[in-house]
Amino acid sequence: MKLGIDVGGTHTDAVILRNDGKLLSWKKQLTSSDIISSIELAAKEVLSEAGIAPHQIDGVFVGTTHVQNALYQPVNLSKTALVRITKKPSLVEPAVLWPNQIKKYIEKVYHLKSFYDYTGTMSETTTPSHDEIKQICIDIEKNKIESICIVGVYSPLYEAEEIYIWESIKSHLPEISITMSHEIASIGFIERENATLLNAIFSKVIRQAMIDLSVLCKKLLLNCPCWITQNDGSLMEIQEAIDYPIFTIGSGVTNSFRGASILSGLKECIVVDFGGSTIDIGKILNGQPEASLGSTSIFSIDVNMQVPKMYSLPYGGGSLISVKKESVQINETIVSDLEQQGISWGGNTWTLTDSFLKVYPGSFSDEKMTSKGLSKLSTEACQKVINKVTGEIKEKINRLELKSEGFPVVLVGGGSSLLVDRLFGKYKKVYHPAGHHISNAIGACFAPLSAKTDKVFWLNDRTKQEVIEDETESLFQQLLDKGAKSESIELVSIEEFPFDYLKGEVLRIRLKALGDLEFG
Amino acid sequence: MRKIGKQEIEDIAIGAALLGTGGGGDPYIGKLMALQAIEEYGEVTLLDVDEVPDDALVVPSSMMGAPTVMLEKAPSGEEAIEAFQLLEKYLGKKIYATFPIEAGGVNSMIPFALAARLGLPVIDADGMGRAFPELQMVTFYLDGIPATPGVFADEKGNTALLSTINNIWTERIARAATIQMGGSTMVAMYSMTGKNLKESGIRNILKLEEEIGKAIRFAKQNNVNPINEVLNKVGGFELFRGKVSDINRKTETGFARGTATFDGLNEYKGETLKLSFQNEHLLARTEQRLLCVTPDLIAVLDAETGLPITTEGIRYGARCVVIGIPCHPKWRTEKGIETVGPKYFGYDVDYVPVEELMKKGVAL
Repeated sequence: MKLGIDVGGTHTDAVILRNDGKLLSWKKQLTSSDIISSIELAAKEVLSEAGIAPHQIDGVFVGTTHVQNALYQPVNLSKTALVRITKKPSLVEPAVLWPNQIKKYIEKVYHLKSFYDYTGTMSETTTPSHDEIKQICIDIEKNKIESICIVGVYSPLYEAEEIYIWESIKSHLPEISITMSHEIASIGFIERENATLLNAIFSKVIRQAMIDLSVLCKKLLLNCPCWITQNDGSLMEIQEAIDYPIFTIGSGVTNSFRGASILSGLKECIVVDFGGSTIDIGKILNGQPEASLGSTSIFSIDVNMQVPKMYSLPYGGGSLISVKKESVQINETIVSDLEQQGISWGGNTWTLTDSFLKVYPGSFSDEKMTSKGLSKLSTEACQKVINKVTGEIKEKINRLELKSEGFPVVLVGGGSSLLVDRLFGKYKKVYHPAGHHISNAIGACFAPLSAKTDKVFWLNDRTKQEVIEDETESLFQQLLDKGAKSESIELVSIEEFPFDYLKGEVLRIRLKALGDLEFG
Repeated sequence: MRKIGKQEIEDIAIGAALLGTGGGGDPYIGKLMALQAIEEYGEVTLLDVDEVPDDALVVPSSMMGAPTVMLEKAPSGEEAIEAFQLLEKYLGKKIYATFPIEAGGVNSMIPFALAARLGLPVIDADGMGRAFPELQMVTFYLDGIPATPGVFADEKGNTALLSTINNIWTERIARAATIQMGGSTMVAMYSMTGKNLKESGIRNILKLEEEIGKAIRFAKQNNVNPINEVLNKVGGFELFRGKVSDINRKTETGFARGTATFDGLNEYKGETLKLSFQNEHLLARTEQRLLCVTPDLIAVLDAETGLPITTEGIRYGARCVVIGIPCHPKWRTEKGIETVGPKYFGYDVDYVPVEELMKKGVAL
């Protein structure tokens, strides 16, 4: 039996699934500010409704948008020190183009001299001296730094330098959280540094929630493993989530995409997740959420790590509608509780959901709804809202499609009922599976284990094929160690990136392997 | 004469990525270096070619090697300064101003980062009007201006002064040394007089890049079609509209070489475009027709934003507009075609200017 939990910005959902995938029970709670009390409530209720004893649960699967939310409302961020290891201080200073409200958390920058060359030969015999590192540690303590970030030039080729500095600092400051860049992202110094800095700055955000989660599992007598889903939709352990919070930034939405695939039984589809504050549109290929390629940006900070490939429209079911100079506007602000303030529930706030219900009253209903207030809205204005929303969704779907005949579309999320029959008429297959409103929590239960590598190799003494074989073997071993079923393990992607304008045999290789969790 | 500040740099970077025709390296790291230098040392003076005295010593500044490596090294900026200082010492003359060797990619940004720090002006001219991969592929070479004496320098503090018998040898020696020096170097070659630059350079190229960048930015702000704006600015042609359906990169040689296939959309439905690239886009053709071939420029733009896409950035499913732009007339000479035409890159087609191909089409 699996317990799946999705902690969203507004709601926390819990589901109990049998290992064969059958849904036994589900519950929805408003998300509490500490997240943990809403998880506790939802988990308790869903267990009791299914009549399941805690010891029958084989695994707890949690997805959360907690870190992502922290970006938009910066709270609990860490004062961070950056240790840069380069040949000479770079002309480009850290965090050049960052927004100030996040940049201000970078308290100190230290420079150490790199002893590596890109060929891997140590060009200088002197490693940074113990005195030098000790001085840095004293300064870090004096400045009450909470988190450290180590970024060494060429670390995607050779990580030893970062590890050496990490060990030296740990020997002086054993308690402090330290992020090393080679564990976060690949080649491209500035973008890797950005991602690593973000991880360090977020080190406190998820820590308490994760510690509380471990405690809660014990309290509820859930003595099974507890997993968090990460950006690529695969699982990581609680300790990993504490160490790499940046990897959970896309956690919620990948679960939703995966859930849509599970619920519809489709291995290839476009997913539209219609939520309260955003509408996310993504793609499932071979049963897996598609990841972005190349650089991306988080809160307008350039980073070179993989996140789910998706388009996010900045509005959802709870967005406020206003009319300015005869043009209808969908605002990015949302009502705090749609079922209190929305016109369709007797409130007096005109929302996106109300616009749909005005034109298509039968889209969905619950006992608390009333159509009284809707009569004062203009049908024409509401139709304009609907046209804008469906038009933009269709345009994004179109961008994700490979061939003109296209993929089927799966609608999920709390607002998805509004879209049924509104998108393509008979021209395209659109699914609206049962369980669409708990797609995230269900998706989390089906997340696989993953292992990946993204490194740069010299092919002097080995062929490309040998490098790939060696790395694949090590990935498979990692998956076995994490508890994957050996027959389920497979290499799902091999990507190669040559170094342009350089005729040498140097190649960046990115490999990813997946495996299913072994139960019982 | 005018000043170049941060907004101008942002615009020029977009134009540079477009004229980079898929290669030249993403201007990203160069842009950061230029922005940082302007932040610290103030805006950079941009000179028109005619404002430069005939006898002034002018030297382009650029990087050589793999932009990917440069992205990792995060240059200190000292390399380029050391290269300039060594060259000045050897020639016994002060450098009056610098300029980009090529319009495309990262090298359009390097001169600004250097000029801000040294307090030198930048001249609005380059030697390609686009991006090309090799040192001799400049209009200066066509006019017999030697690349050397020239200097290249690395981040470790090594500098090398080179004097060669011709520019092909400069390319061979410098490329090999660059690999040894860590995959990318900062280069100060093709030093020349103001008079040389007036005769052999391609004028107003930074102005064009800035206008391209501005057009794309304004189009976004005003919600108008950026592609038409860009085509107007560069005097180009829409070659094709389509979705990337296949991308094939051969990596054996360590060069970004390959082809991309686009399935036609709108009025191109039913047709496919094959785009061949070697760092830069070099050849565009459908099954029936040749559309555009090097040295004319082929740029791939995002159909929605108009932003240029590099060869590395071409992804399955991306909706693109492929455009062709006539190259500078200097490339359309016999020596120009020999240096950078389709045969040099191993394609068995004859060069035909893009505007003629557009008029009648040449059957394959």
